Amino acid sequence: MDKRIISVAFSILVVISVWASNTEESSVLKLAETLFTVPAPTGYEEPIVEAIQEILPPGCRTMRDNLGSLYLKLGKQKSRLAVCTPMDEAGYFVSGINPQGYLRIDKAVFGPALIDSYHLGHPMIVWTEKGPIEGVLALPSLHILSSEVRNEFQKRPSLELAYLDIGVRSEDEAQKIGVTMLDAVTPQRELTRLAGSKIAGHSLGLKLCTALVLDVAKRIAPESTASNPTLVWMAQTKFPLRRSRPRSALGALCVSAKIEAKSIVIVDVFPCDGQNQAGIMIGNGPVLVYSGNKDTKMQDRVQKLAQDKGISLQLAPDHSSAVMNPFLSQHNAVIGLFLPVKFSHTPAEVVDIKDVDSLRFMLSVLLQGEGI
Amino acid sequence: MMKKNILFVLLLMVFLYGVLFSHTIKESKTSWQLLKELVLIPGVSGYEGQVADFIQSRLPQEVKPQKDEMQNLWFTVGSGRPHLVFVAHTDELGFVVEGITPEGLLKVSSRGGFLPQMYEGHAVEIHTKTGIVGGIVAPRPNYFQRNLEISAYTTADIAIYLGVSSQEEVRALGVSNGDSITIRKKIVEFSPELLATRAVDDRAGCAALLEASCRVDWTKIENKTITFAWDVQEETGLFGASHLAVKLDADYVFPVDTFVSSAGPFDSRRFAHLPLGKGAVLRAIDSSNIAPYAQLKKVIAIARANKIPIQLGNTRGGNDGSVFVPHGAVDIPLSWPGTYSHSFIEKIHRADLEALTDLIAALVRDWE
Repeated sequence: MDKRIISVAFSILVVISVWASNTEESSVLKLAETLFTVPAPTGYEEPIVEAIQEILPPGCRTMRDNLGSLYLKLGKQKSRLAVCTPMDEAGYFVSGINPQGYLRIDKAVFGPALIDSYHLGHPMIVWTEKGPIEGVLALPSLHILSSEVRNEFQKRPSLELAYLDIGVRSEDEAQKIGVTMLDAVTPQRELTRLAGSKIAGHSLGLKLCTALVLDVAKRIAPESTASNPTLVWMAQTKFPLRRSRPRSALGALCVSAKIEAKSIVIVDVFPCDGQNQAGIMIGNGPVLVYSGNKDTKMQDRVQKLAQDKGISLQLAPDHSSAVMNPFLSQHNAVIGLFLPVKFSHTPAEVVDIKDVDSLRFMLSVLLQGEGI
Repeated sequence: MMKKNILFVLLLMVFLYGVLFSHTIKESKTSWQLLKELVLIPGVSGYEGQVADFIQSRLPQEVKPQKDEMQNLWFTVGSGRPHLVFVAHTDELGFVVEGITPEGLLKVSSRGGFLPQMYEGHAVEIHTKTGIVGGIVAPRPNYFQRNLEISAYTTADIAIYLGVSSQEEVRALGVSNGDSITIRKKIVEFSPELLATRAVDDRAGCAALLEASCRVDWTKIENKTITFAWDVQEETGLFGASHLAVKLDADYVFPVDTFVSSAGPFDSRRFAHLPLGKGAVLRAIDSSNIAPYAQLKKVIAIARANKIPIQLGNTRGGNDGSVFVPHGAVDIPLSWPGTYSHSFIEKIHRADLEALTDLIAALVRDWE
């Protein structure tokens, strides 16, 4: 009889613990889903800042710097630890309206050669002050396509070929519905569930990083923790300081100058596409990046923590990150806890939720002061 | 007592209205609304069953539809000559699974003509026997390079990632050779009158024909035979229409399909420059047919008599009616002006689709 009771109680405990872990996992996903469709092209971060502030628990006092990065300081003591993550993404803005009402678009942030070609022939959104406007990036009609135009599309796809059709017939009509110069333009997005624990979507890696830091903020704020951490969602991280060597993100430079904490954790994406260290894959755990540290204690402790908690960690000691570089020159202990992303900078960045979960757990423990 | 009687009469009227006019209520959807439902139904060439089933379920009760083994669907009303056949195609562009690599990627063949690069890096849906499986068209291997010499991207380059890494895992998802694949569709509604999405070609034709079938009073068809047909495999070579051309013995065939307009920003306006929103189109000349001018004038006269806005133009591409011509029929293609053909953003104006629907109904009624 006693054995039966123990067995039932054990079963209940197992169910509860599985339920609890699922609930935690879905909380990050839920946040990411909320943030997923919020536009955040570099330099146009206000909507994502508003979204983050709306989600933060009441009583959280935030501040901004001159570039727009958002800071949340927890606890009354001096911060020993700061966790910083980018909140901006690659995107476009309206750079002109032609007499037929087609919008011309441009960008401030440059990336892989193919990055613009993915969007030709696909739905986009123009974020005007009057609200979002749906549009499509025009394609030539196949049946009446000349070989010259076909060649342009196949071999030189670029913004020169981008005409954003918003369903109007003149510049006047475009202006009348609220389109103005420099309105942000993003692709329309939808999440794709893949097999197992993988999901895909445009800028999904960055949205999950934003959501991860927001999730841990929600869990511990406004309570104090041993590390009195500062959490930062950084603006303009896709825009480099001109001629900086090593390459340094402008937004990260400003944050690194402002942050007092000696220990810095950067949460960012790690592209698994052959351009970096071989062997880093999605589904194998977060990536620990730790090149050039003066003080190696934090990276050693993070590795031990992962080992103790049974978390798989991938190591990328030599990875160079434009977001991390500014911190490395100003702070003693800087590590990156990066989320591995497949097909980065494409409309379908693939992420494994298991990695997100492990990263969330590592961050939670670090923010409680353990390992720092 | 009086109040009770009034209430009873009112309830009876509501009941009788429901019984007598339930069919009319079912028919009350516009071709525009039907289009928005039809475009979302998967129907890659050779896999049109679901589209045909949807259309069959919405046909007026008084007609007797037939379906052949290819999934061509049609009904015929009336007797004698002339025999007018109106036909729209149910199939759409897409892929079919041809193989699974040891790494668990799907290799495909295309159904119809399009620029494969439109799919690169985008989400697709694999239609398996057990349901839809999500996938991503993997970007080309060197996609992350900043200074990339871009080469043409072909169907052979396409590899679909499902989130797994072996053939066994792919099969466990229910995916197998021969499954059809479509892009994940999205309807962009610029306004209540204008939209862009995949498969407007030729679900708009299907919708116009379906809606017209609900508007026509079939009891009044005399001294002529009318067939409405929804055929298959147009995009891969007019195969369904070829089958029907043998079977139907038409005098006049009215294929209902896109008029590829050069109203987009890249197109040469030397020909095909018919704007959207100005009415139905008589696709007088295309790559497969030249409609006799006398017959075009007859259609224009009927359109004008019924106050239906109509445009006349020439474009490129083939039409289903062309395969009826060798069997003795006259091919008179009916259209709407559409831009961005064979893309995910085929654009159409509501006024044009409604004019086209009106035109089909008027031709059925007034053609002699």
